[in-house]
Amino acid sequence: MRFFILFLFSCVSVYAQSIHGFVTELETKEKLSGVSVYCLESKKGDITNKYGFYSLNLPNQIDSFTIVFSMIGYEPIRFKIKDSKSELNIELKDQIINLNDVVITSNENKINETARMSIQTLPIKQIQELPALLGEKDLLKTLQLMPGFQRGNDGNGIIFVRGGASDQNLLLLDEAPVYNLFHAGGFFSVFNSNALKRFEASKGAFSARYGGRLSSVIDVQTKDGNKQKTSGSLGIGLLSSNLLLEGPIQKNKSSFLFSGRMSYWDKIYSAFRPAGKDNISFGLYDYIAKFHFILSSKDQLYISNYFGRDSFVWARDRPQYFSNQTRFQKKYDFGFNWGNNTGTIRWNRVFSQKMFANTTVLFSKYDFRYQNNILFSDSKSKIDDLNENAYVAKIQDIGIKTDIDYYHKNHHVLFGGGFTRHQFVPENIKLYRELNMFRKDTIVNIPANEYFIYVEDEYHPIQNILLNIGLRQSVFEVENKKYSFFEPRLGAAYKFGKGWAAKIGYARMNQFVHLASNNGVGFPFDVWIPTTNQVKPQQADQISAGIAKDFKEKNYEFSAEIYYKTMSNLPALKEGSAFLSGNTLDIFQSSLATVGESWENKIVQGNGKAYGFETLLQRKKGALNGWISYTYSKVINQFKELNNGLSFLPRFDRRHNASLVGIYQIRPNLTLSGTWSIASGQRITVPTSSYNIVNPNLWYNNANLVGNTVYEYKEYGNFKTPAYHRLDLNVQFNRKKNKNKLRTWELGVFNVYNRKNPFFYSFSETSPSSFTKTNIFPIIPSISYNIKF
Amino acid sequence: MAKIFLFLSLSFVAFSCQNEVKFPIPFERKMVVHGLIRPNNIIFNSDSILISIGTNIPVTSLDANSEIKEAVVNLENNQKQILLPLLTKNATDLKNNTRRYGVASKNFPIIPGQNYSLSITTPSGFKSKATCKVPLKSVPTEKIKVEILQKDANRIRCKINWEDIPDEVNFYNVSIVLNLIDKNNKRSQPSQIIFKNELDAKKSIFTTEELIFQNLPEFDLDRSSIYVAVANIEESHYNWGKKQIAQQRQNDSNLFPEPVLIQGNVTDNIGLFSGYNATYIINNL
Repeated sequence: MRFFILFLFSCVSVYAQSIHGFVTELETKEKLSGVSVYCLESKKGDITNKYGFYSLNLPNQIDSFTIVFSMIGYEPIRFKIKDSKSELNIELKDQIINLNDVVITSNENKINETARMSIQTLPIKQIQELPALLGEKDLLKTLQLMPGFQRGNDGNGIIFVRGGASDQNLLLLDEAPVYNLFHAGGFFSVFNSNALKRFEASKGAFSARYGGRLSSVIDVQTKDGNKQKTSGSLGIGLLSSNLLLEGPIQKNKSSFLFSGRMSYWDKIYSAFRPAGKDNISFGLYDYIAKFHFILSSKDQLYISNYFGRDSFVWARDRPQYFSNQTRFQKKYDFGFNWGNNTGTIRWNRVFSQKMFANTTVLFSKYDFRYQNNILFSDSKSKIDDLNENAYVAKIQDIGIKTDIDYYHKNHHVLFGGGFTRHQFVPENIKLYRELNMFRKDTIVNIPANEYFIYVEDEYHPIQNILLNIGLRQSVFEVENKKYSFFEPRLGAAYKFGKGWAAKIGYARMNQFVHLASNNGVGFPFDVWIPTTNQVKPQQADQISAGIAKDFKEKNYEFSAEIYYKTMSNLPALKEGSAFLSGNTLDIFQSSLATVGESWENKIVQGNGKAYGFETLLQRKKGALNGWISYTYSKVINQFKELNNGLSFLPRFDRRHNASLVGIYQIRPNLTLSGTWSIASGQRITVPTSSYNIVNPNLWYNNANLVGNTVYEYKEYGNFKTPAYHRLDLNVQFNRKKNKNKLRTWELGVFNVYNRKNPFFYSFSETSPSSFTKTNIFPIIPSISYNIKF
Repeated sequence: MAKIFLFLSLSFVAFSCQNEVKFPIPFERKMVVHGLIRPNNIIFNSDSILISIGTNIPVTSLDANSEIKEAVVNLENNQKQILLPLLTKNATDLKNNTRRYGVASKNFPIIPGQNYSLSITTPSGFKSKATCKVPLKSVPTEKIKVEILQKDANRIRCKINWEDIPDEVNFYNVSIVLNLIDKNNKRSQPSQIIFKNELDAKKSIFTTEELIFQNLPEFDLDRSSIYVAVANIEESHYNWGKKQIAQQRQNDSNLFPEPVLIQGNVTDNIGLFSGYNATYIINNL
């Protein structure tokens, strides 16, 4: 460690002067993160941190400096300064008012100006331009159009990053982890994009500030609220509506923001349900509430809360009869109910012109409930028997962390630490049988502690080389067992030629919370489980390398990366086990905890390796802009206890992914946009045949077969589903009534050529069984009306 | 306004679509072979070696299992070999479209501790081989205990204990049949069977889970008996049975099934050929 610190500060000092301050938006006084702060004379720069703070060291030899502040979507500002040891707070003017200059990019800062790689950012304003299902703009759906971020099915809002499972993505909302990323069946993400300010997604060469997941970090910030005037927006869609309201509590000193969404499509679907079809119902609502207080020139306080709930119910009210039985199924329904709740209190403190600190107290909770209710009846006695089965899983975190930015000479050092108290409920089974007066409730409760400390240095040793070196120590305590891991991080960039940069990165990551997902066909069923004595932490080592080119004159940007990742202790459900099964008591008993076996015995762990290639070409400016992305990703898993010990392709092995995104501004108030994406099919495991088994009782003649049938599964991932592809189109009409009012009509068509992409796969209960792909998203036109005031 | 209304209506109708698309799963016809062989036992006077041969069927079509005709079934042990003849079809064979090949045990004695090879070829092109080793030892009769925990008209609860065969890793299959005598002094069919595997090399005493037989009011329990077989089996048999149990725990209506791969030891096809060495005891209740 001593060597490392010496290395950090061993360069010869030529930087004795500095400027620092905050960058805010002119109209709303919103703090802006990711703003490029660049000194033309020294050719050195930095970007504002998450809270809009920057500190730039300037060389002694020069008397006056030109500092450029720039960010996509804002008019750049140049400042000539002489007295450099001063505070310089900047306000940038929103460029979106000028509709002639629409800009879209995946990297707000020049792609060749940072040592970090594998990062994607998108201005929230640009997400508003793109088509979306039912007009609901979506951050994470747009992210899935970028290289390296792959989709699941229409029915499961899942992101797979570089061969990692969906649990390997850390989603932070105002510093609090969010465990479930998508609303009802993955239609759109849990965030209302109206309330978001900025996000950054990294998929390799991670900052030491982040940890706890193997494959990606998606860091999302909400708006602080307008400190000048009360404003907002109202969006009315076919099936859902949203409202945003923000304004000052005390002008220029404090602000509030409230954003909420609610769907009503379940009621509409019920009204238009075709006769004889089962009733499918989705429902969701969410809100974000936030308060921001500027306590002094050095202190700020943020209080934010997110709450969202979802429900999905599939109900059949037609009776189902069993052969040769008087007992029949009168009604049947099953459903899921889940939601996130997060809250943070953050205190920013500028300790000096070179040191900025943020301390966060956080809360996060995710709970999931599966329930089925079956009303049996007897055709002779006419007696009804209600059977209720429920499975509940929860995870809850309470934590505190401090992140410090320290600017020294040509170093930008980040360091800090944190603690989180986890409370896991991986299994809570509730059974009720009305006729037998039977009730059962079993629960598994596991507390755990997680700690971390880190230090990272972004360092310019010489003109064309940038280094980013980080170290992180992660500790997890559970059941009197302590896991402690050292995680090195490294990033390096070399600039050459006209706008070219070559980069390389390495990161070791550990993960202490896991998602147990099913591998068969059917609905996704995901339960968060902790690391324990028996269940080991996941670990990954990833190395990536790439090149980037900024074609300034033509407004194009090109990047390409390759990566190789090894993963160990990946969790999976063992063959034949299930956290939850079908719809009778007998099947619930196959949930092993109910017959005395630990839930941990349902988990097996294995290894994986992933490698791939990602490329992105984008046009950043002009009447027609957008991007083309392509991802090749291969992942191979191997578990001793699965697939007879042989390696296999997991569900998220989507080999080829490509997206085409275009935005065409026909007139200043008329924008046409479209996205087309295609992805290889997923790997699922299906039985290929069935056969009769031998009588297992040794008192009988063993070659006399009995009638029971078992299925032959050749191997895991033996069935590749058809490719996923979809075209969406959108037209936006903007009409500005006056300076403060903007009205937008939006017409969209989701899935233009009516591709039947799967919601889920299932086998019928008929004989012979049929293998069926169910699709619930055909071509869907939408219309929405938004008022900004 | 009328256009907007029409647009809205079309949107709702479109969203109301719930499409189901059926598509076939690639199927490969395979031969299904079952054969468990054991040393002859005094309890079974007319014991025989039986190899059952059938085929698999597709999951998603009405194709029946096709009958395997004129298979050449050869069983070998060291220098000896025997061609197993086709036996007459019984009701089970007819139901499952399978054929049995076999011979009386006295014509080809199965010797504990010896290796056996099975080869099957058919005119339709199936070819398979499998080998097994009949375990040398079995659990001595006196090391097996039947514990009756409850015996009344409502239920019989019992457990089976046995001592592990020392100095080797063993796998067991315990089979139980309750033979009940009714009040007319007629012997009933067994009411339940239990198939259970146990594996723990460190254990010296094994105990089954509690076995419960219910609803017995019409039987004369004092004249009824329990039949217990404790078999020392091969690992292939253990894995085969364990996976079968795991898969049968699942249900067709299970929405969240984890697949279970049942692995046999019959080359290029499906099935199990294995030897076991069992101890059989009959206890009065």
